[in-house]
Amino acid sequence: MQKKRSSVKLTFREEEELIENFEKKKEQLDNVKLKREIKHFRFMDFAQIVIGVGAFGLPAIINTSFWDYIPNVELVDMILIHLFFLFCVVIAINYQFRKDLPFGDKWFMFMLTKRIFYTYVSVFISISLLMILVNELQMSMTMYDYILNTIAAQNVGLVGAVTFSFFKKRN
Amino acid sequence: MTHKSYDKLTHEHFEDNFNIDFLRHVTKRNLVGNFIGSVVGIFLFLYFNLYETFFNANQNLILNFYFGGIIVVFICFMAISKIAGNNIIDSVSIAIRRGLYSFIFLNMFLLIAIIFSGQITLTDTYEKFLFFFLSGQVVVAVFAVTIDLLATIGKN
Repeated sequence: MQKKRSSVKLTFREEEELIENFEKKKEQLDNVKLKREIKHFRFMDFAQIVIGVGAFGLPAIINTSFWDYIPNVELVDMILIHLFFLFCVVIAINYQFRKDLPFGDKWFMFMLTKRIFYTYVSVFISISLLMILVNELQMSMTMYDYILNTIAAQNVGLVGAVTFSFFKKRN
Repeated sequence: MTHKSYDKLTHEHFEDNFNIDFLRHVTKRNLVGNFIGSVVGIFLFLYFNLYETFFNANQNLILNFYFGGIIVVFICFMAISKIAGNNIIDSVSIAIRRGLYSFIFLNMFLLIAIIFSGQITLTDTYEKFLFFFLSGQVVVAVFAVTIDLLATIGKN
């Protein structure tokens, strides 16, 4: 025996409201999933950053003309460029997890700050190792040169790490 | 008697032989404890100029203390976790994670103090900065890690 389907006629406006509600719910569920992902900085994330720095940063770092050019830049200018890159990285990592800027969401801002800090430290570790490898981190160099070289390499590394993280497979 | 703990981030339940929440979780109390310990350590290190007096600016001595200290702290954390009933891989994971938190925080405080104290300038060599920083870490870690752990030992 076939059941009779209850046929409810919806007006155009009601249909639109239903679709809108459905999209809102879907967005909320997506946000919950993304929030769960941003919470944990696992060893996998660290490894991904190291690979990203290696894949995208290594060609620049082993290039001698890169290191020949760096002394021509003033430290203050380099710091300003670094801040700009850092700002772009913050925005990029944010859009990796959300579709909007989280100015009102304190919890998300806190988690984002933590993740950016861990990313920065991971890139710094990888970059330091690479700089030792190409002999650009010497004991005899002055602190001025050390900071200049490190910040220049850190810029390249950050961009590489963030670029590679966009290839992350989402479940 | 076993102790049950719950991780709010991973939503996992753990059962240990005794309370090792001070190793499993890092809270605001730990951060405050680490900060207080770091301030004490930095004050002693800079005020008494321990880089010259205690370490004698001897690179080998500094490296021995530094890596020796890291190994001792790591083995202590791992042993506590192992005695609490975790397997060796979990113990290593807990020890590394807990150690890294304290290490990163105290390094941050020390680096800020070195920059603002003016002990290292832009014309100094990287070698001097490195060994000054490492010796500073040894002194600061004694106070910072102790107070950091004491802040949550026995707390649920």
